[in-house]
Amino acid sequence: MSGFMTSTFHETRTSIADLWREPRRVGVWALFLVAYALLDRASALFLPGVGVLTPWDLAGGLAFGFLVAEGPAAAILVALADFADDFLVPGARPPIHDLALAATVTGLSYGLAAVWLRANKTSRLAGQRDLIRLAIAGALAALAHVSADFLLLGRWSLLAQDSWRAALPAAWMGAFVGILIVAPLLMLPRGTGQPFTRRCALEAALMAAVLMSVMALALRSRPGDWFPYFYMLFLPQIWVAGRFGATGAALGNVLVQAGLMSFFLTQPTLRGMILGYQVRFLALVATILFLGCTVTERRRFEAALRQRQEELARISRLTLAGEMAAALAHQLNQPLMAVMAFARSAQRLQENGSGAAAHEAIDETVAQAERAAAIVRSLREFIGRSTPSRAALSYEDLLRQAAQLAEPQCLRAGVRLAYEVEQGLPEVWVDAAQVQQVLLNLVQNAVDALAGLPGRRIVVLSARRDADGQVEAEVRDSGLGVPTEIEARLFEPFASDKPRGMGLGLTVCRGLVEAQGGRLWLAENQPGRCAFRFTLPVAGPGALRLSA
Amino acid sequence: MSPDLVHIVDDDPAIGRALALLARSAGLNAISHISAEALLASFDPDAAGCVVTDARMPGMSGLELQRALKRRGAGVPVIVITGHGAVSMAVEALQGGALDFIEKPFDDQLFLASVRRALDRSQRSAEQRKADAAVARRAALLSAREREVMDLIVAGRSSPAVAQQLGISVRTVETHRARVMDKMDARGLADLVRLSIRLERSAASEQALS
Repeated sequence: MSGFMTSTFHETRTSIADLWREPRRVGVWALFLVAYALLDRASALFLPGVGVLTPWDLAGGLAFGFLVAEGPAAAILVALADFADDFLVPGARPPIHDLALAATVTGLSYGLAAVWLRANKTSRLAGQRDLIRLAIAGALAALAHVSADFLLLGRWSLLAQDSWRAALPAAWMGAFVGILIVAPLLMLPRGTGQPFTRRCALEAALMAAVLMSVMALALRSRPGDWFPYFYMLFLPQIWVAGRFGATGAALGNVLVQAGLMSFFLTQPTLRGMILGYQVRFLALVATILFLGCTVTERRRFEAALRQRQEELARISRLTLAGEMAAALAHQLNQPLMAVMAFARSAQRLQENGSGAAAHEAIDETVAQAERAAAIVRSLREFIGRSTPSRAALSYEDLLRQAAQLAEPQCLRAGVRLAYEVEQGLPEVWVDAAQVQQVLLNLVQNAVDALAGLPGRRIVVLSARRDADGQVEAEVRDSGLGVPTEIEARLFEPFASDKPRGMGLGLTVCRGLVEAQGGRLWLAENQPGRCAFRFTLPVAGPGALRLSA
Repeated sequence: MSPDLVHIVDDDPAIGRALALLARSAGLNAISHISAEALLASFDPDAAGCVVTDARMPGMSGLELQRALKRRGAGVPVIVITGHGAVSMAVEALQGGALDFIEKPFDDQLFLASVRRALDRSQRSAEQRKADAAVARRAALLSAREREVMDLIVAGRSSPAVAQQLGISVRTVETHRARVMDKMDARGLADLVRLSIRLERSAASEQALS
């Protein structure tokens, strides 16, 4: 059998021959044999002498889980263990060939179930799908195992012939429940992104304590009424599975099973009820496992989602940096180009003897170098290394200067630029360059929005005092407004609807306004009337006075 | 007016001023425009030496300007300059007939050499156009019959063969031939052949442009 398994299933390279080269594996296999024997003995304690009939076939469950974890090559070990334990059962013993055949069927059916699970990548309980596969494979393997035992060994047991119809389902349930209790322990999920901290350990201890207390209550029995409080066990188990997922569910089930076993061992008179009790227990185990697997699955998805979001955030940060660098390179390239050309012109003009023209060219060179320096400075301010140099300034002056700068652009686009400033407006406490940058940016946006529109094209710059006494400035245009799909993320980077825009303008504007202690928002958005407003703090009495 | 005016188109006025000044400092005539539309509004093909345009501008781009000039039949050489040197853009510009594609920031030598090459090209094609126009003017003086006779002579037919084909006397053919030589101001048969080729070529290139 082992030859057949190893040649067919490459997932496991273990064969008996390889085994001796891996001492650790030899240890694991030996451990399995010992555990199997102990569990088989423990299970058999409840119905002495009835080898076939155990209310919970924990040894079978261990064998099942072992096969899933170790690979189907271990089936031969399972068959040997099964054979040996049946052989060692005291009392009337079936003939050896029957024992051998029954053990072979057990090894083969559990082995095949393990093959199927492994082929479907279900060697761990990571989700509902895994549990459903485990249940299907376990139920069928248990049926094959129990049927073989009944056919080959049943007549040697002490069962009355007429009770086998009742005994077969009970035996099947016992085998199935054994698989559902023990196999998940060997199929615990990994990597749900939840570290096991001290707090988790405390919680787990508390849960175990609560579970045992509830168990003490649930196992109380009155004559004629079996365990009326049994369903109380669902509550702590749901708690455990909800908190620790499939792992919690599997461990909780084992704890409940251990409690039950010790209870029945100390209450020999109640042993007759064991079989009737199985059904409820199966319901509990299956429900809790299902809940646990669902929780694990959700946690896994959440962890994967979180990881993906982190990746996306990282990528978008990188993209932002790249875009900024590209924009900056372009911004600096322009004045650099002009500096080069003006300087060379100056040189040539000087050589030709036209000194006055050369002087003018040098002035232009310096102006362009200053422009480059201003870009670098505003970048520094944007990054936040340098605090804005603020002064008490007249907003009207700032506005007029910005309007002058924007004028040529408006003329070119055929846009009228108007401004209306409330009388007696107080001075504002701001960085002139930054406020002008905001104004120019907003005017630029307005002009872009008006491009190609028929009818009246006008941008109005206005300012008044708001209710809080701050200066509220407005840039309004007669365009179509901001498209609704953009409006929600208007101030986010890269939300541009312009084919060549980077979508950083409004982000930068908001940052600059906030650096002054004001705020910027889209106040009106309808066709013919689109207005951005921002507030600026009023200069206090102690503010440094400067002429703008 | 001689076609030696360098048009510089850039949406950044400082660049426009700087490049125009650079050209002027090297003894060239230059004028800068703030946009492609501004250039097209005042464009005089006869005075245009060459166009230096930024590739990316709000409104009409440099490549669009190149196409617009071509559509107008202005065979003016175009130099495209750009701040973001994308290979695809360079390929498109050169395929569209741009004379040169330069990446900003560039050296004055490179710029002036490119502009001079463009002006040279422009000068030569202007001379050629002028010569073409002169030949066309002369050819327009020919009567239909004279034109027929010229085409046949240029195709290598002898006077008797022409006479036979047109069904006229050899003597009449000789008269026509003398008039053709006179009107076309040709110094001999070889010269006439050359003029006729020029005539055909300029007609073909005009057809291609329209």
